[in-house]
Amino acid sequence: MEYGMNFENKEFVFTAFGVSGREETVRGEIESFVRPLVDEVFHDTTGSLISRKKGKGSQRIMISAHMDTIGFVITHIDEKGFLRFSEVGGQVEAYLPGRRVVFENGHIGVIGVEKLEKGKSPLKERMFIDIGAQSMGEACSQVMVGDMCTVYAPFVVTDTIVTGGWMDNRIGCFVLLEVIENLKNSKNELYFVFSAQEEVGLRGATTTAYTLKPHIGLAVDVTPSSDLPEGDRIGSSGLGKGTAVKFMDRSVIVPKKLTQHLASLAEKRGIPYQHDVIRQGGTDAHAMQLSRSGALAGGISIPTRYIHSSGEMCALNDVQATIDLVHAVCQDAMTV
Amino acid sequence: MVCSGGPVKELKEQLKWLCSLPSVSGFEDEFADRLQERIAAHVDGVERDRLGNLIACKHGFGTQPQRLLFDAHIDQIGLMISAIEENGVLRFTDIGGINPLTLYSKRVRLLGRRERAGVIGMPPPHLTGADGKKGEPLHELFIDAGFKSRRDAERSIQIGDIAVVDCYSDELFGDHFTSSGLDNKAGVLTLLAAAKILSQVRHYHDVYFLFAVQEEVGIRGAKVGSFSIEPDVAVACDVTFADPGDTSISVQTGKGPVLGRGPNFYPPLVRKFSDIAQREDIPIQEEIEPRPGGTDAYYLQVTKRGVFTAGVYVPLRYMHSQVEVIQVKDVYRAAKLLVLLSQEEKMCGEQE
Amino acid sequence: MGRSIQYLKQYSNLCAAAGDESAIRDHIRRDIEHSVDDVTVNPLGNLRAIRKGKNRSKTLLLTAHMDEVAFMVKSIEKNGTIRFYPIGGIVSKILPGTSVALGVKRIPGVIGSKALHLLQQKERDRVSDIKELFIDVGASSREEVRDVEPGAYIYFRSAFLAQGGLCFGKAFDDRAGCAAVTTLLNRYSDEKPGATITAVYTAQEEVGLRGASTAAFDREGILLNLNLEGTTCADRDVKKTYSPSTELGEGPAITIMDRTIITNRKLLDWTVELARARSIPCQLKRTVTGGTDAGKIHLAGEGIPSITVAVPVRYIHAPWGILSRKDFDNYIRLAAAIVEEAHRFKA
Repeated sequence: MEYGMNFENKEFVFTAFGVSGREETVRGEIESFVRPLVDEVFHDTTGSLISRKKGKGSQRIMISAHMDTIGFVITHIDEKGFLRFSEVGGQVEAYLPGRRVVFENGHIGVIGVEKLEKGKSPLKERMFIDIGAQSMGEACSQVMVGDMCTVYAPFVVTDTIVTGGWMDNRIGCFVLLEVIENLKNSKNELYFVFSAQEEVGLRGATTTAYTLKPHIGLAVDVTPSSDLPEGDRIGSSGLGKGTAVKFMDRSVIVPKKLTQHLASLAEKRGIPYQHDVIRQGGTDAHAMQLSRSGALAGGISIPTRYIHSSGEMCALNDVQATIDLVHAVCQDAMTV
Repeated sequence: MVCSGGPVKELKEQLKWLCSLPSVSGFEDEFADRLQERIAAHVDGVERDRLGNLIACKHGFGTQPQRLLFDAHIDQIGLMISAIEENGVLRFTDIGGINPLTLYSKRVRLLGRRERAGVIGMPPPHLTGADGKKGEPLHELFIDAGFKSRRDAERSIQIGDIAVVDCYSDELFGDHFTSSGLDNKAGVLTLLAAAKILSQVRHYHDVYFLFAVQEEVGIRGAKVGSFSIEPDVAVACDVTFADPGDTSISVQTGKGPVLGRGPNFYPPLVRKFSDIAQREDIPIQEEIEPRPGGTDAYYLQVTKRGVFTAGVYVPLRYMHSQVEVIQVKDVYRAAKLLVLLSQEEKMCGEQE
Repeated sequence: MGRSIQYLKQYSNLCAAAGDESAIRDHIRRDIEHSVDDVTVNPLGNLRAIRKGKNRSKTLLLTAHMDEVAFMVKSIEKNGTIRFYPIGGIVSKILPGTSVALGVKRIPGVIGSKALHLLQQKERDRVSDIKELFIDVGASSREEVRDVEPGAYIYFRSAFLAQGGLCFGKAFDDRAGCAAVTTLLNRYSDEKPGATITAVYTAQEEVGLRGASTAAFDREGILLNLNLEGTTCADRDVKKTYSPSTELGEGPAITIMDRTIITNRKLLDWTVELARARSIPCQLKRTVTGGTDAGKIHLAGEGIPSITVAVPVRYIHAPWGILSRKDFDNYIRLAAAIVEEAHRFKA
């Protein structure tokens, strides 16, 4: 199937380092890409990148995709050169032993586990990262306490899917970049925000929403799909069924007038979509909805399997549908 | 203070009416419309904000009035449809905290394109054997509305529609009243009753009524409502636990509204309520809350530069079940306390 | 340096917890009033003192919290024993056998503990939940208990002691921070600081960073927030392959990250470099648990770069903590350097 999307010129969004609170590298890359395409670019003290496209309409619309990935922070280096760590964002314990990690400076390591008592499952406290150093001195020449690392799982695009360790939420950033690249004119004042520190509590979106004072806020993020064999019923969406229009997650209940508007926009443009209700998880929409005196907030998401694993997986036609719906929003008057 | 007949009887009727109107968190619009109609005549101005909060304002007569906020959350817990099975059965998730054990065998109102009735299915005791002893997690329960297949269901229901447990109001012995949704229709009624009285008396301060949305899912409405209003003093009107048989709880229904004590509440303001109650012969109780949280007061207190905050609660049994129980005279007493506060020129003393 | 230890001693001996900070607030107010230009108290109980700087348009927000972990009377039983709630995070296993002071009259009591001789083997291995503990004030009936009522605050009874370069006492988290802020403000009673100092002694930190949520409101031109704390130090407790969090004697600890904040990288690097340039020994805090006022402040409004510098305290959130005088002195030196140089920081 032919898609309009271009992964090649945006590869950086899937390879540039950026763990919560340490997003400088990916932010710099995104800034270089969007600068010639928008009217204004700046970042705030929490780390979010804000790019503005002027429009004459009455609404200020903030579209937020977080650019931080979850990761690990090094807290201790022992005498033999092994590194103790804590999680940055919510890591799933079962996915960790044996995982490869990559540091901001490019070094590679592997997560190991202390000896386990029979029948007991490994706990994060009993894990460590091995970078192959033979001593504390050698380890310290490569990494420091406070350095961050994240899963090393380069992305792959096939005919039907895209998968890798950073789909949450570089695929959301990719959607925004595609929209920015192809947007000719916008009805309203649009703010494309690549937010920082979402995974540790929606922190970037909190300060950015306060600064921008949007009327409408839309979060573009991944959403957990529920279509696995004997799978957990965490949500209502499935891969390949279209973009996920958010109705509710644990951080936001989207107002009916907004879900109805997005649904009818999708129908008018023939964009495949599905209703997204999840019982776990939150997004930047929460921060935008509750900023100052409040905003209308919702989400347009990409259904994703195996979130926070090294094999996060999305369907290409869902990604395309998400791009199309966000694009439609940008060209719509959005009087809701 | 005598509390029977007249005003309390009228309040019971209003309460029945309030409880019959669904107001699930995030979907309070129609309920707020009804409230707006009810309160408009008693106040100087009414508006709705972007989250759906209803804000009404009644100006005071004082020479140096402060901004006094009375808050009550208008939302109630409910369900959202999250999947439609091939055989027509509906899966759901909760909006606000619901104990799945309270859902078995209940009748629900499905509020989709057209309203439909459904039941939360439960296998008969004859067939459950050992399994009947354990409760399932909420996402394994289902609503049966009689649909024969997914296609049949999709004619009236879609994912994202909400449902609310059907409400039966009844009067019990000892002046007790039961219904689902008393958390927080009791608080809403407190504000409505106070508004009515305030429209007929002189009060010193400018009173703002915040009928707040989405408290049950994280105190969301109060956070933004309070930001807009920027009160000097705020009182949260909600319900609190009065369960008999729990030895750690000393609060009882019928013994008066409950004042919260603890870091979430400003002691001189709480003392002012106590003094007023003693002076006017209104019975009150108190509840120790060592940690801020659990009601709109949580966000009211930390709005902008900080707000002097108190909590006035109606004692309630069996919270978040479909058979909550209160005594309506406690609502009337709470409303009187609010009105009397608005008449005090000095609402609270200096920070000690 | 003697003055700052005096403040630490006086402040740590006072009793103040979330919602009951007046004792310490009044004392601090008397200590700083003559050095600053404006003092106010806000509805949460925060004490805010402003000292105008040479550059009025630049402000440094300097914070420390006034409240300590404590307890609150839940109920008085028929037999005269007292049930209680914790205020702030306390591990119940340290409580049996502890001396406490109840209510405004500081009535003495003890947290009851069953004698070893009377414990069955099962009971010896089990830690009691706070709900199961009780305080004995010597009364044998509810009627006999005087001056204590539900809602009354209960504090550890520990008196400050200095010995061999160490300080023993309660509430170093965060009277150490309060003592540091007072010391710094009093240094500028004659000469103006480079940037305006807005010092906020916050209330109710231990029950959810409540005072901090309102501390940054309405202040213009804040360059950065320096949050002064007392922090965990487990250098006696853990194996060598694990992180001790901080180590006593290694200097003030700078927070990289905790559950409420990831320190702004520029500010972190700037602070570490400043310490190095002034030869002030310091360490990085090597655990990421817990939260501080900086967690709320850095997300206020459009965002404020915020950093927590803490003095290591062994056995924090317990009746007896230990800190090192050398660490405390270097803690104040580092805080002073940051205050001096704040107007040069660019986010």
